[in-house]
Amino acid sequence: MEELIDLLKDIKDDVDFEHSTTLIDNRELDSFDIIQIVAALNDEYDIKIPASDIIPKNFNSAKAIYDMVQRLQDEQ
Amino acid sequence: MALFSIKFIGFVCITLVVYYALNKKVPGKQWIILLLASLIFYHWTGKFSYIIITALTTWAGALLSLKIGAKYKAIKKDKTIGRAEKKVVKKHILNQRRVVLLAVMLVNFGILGYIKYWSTMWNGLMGFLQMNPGFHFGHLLLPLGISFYTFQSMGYMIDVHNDKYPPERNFFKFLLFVSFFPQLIQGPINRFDALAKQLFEPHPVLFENIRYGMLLFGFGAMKKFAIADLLNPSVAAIMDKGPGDMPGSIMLLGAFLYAIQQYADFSGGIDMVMGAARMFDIQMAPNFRQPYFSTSLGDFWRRWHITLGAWMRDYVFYPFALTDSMLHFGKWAGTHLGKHCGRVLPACVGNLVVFFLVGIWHGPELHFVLWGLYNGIIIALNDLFEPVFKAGLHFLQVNEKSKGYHLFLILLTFFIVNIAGYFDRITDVSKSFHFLVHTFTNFEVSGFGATYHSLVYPHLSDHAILVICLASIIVFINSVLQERKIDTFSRLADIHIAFRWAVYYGVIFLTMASFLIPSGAGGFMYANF
Repeated sequence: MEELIDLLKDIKDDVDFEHSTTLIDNRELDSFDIIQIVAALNDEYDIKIPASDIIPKNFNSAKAIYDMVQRLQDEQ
Repeated sequence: MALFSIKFIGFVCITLVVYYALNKKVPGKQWIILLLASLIFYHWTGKFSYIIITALTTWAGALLSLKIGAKYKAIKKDKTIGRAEKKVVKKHILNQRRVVLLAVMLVNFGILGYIKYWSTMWNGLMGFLQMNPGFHFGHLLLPLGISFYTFQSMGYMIDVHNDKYPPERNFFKFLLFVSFFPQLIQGPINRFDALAKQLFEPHPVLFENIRYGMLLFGFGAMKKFAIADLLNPSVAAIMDKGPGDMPGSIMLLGAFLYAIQQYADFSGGIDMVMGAARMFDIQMAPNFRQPYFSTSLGDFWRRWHITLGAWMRDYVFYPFALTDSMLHFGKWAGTHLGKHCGRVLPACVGNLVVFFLVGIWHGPELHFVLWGLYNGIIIALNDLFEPVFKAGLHFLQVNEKSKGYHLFLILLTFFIVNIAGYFDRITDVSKSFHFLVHTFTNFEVSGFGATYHSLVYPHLSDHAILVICLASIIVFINSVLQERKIDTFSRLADIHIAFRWAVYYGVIFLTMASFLIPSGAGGFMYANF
């Protein structure tokens, strides 16, 4: 999880990834960030995040992103 | 059948009585009444066969996709099969499901393309090549709501393909999702997971739903008739006239009036159909969120025609931006052109693709393509040059959080939207550019008064101006309150009875007054799409 938060902070350092649960709902992340995060996660965890997983539920918190990565690693 | 007609109001009243009466006798079967009403409505207003083809192919395609997908689920649980073998099977099954998805999309976008685009494209191509094939394709009559229900159905098909939710097994229930009558005229483009549950669950009669629905319907009617329709003749007088020696200031007035007309027409129509649906205790997806309070063109498109924007975001923008080649492009741009370009360029290209398609969605004519690209290019430039703008603001010591700067951004965005109207409202592209150039090179404020009197005034009487202004003030106050997250239509029930009825009578009076003033306007603008 810490590793993931470091990766996210590398992309956008002014967001409280440790505590925020409204990253999408409060527009703390925009579409530019999402594309960069997906590219970084694909490389780092050797997964392929499909467009159908780009939903607020999967990106509203670092924990949600972590759960999505875990699920995709299991599935792929 | 017009939305604001005795026939439609009578139709809704009878359907409401049967709908709520049935809930007492046979709970859970009210959807059958909605389906029958929707089919009757469509029979009266549209061409029946196409919507049945869309519903049938999408319903069957989704079930077939589920059936193929179920094969993998069975294999996945089988512990005797190895991981590598499962991967091969998974890929094979995914390919089969992709074929089903593509086939359904091909049929439905094929029908839409043939009816909406083929004659224009063919005749345009023959004209361009200066060929005469000996026959000519006439324009086909566009079935009511075909762009809306096709997109709604294809969104469902893609969601089922992605296992977002299980498909609907009952064809007649699915047919209701596609043909639910309030959404047929001009959207919104609803999502199955949000709408279907509401359509099929029991609904006891609640006075609040009827009151809220009627108020929303009446408010939408006021926007449509007391603002949009009354502005129609003066907008036409300016925009349909050749530029000639018309001052640029009058052209800009035409674009301004068109922006007001278009918002009042489209959002008014949406309010009316949302109100009609609300009377049946159905809440459709919101399509507007005070778009003229936007602080950038990107923000505007998150507030205007929201359901089309969301459809494009989910089914075009992200699938395109997350392709391997676009992700590689982002990395390449980050390495060679700097961090900022790496961040924004892939999304800029994605936005250009989306707005090209949004333009085409409105029609095959060149002016719609240019209008779409204008939006895409402005948004892309705004994102690309953001560091330059920030540096400029810092240099000028502008406080970005001040109310003055916020207001400046709202006015600037509104101006940019007004200019877009030149390519949207004017169908002749060379004339659009002429208007655009004239606005900036020949603004001629001194000629405004005389041209207004001779060109606009005959089409915009003092009575019309009074009705438009009063209705616009009501719409503006409502928009300000809604921007402050106040649900005005709910809150109105709690305020003093005298004020409440003053608002009700005001809305009714202005709508009725508009009927006494000739406008020459017809149906809804977006019903043509």
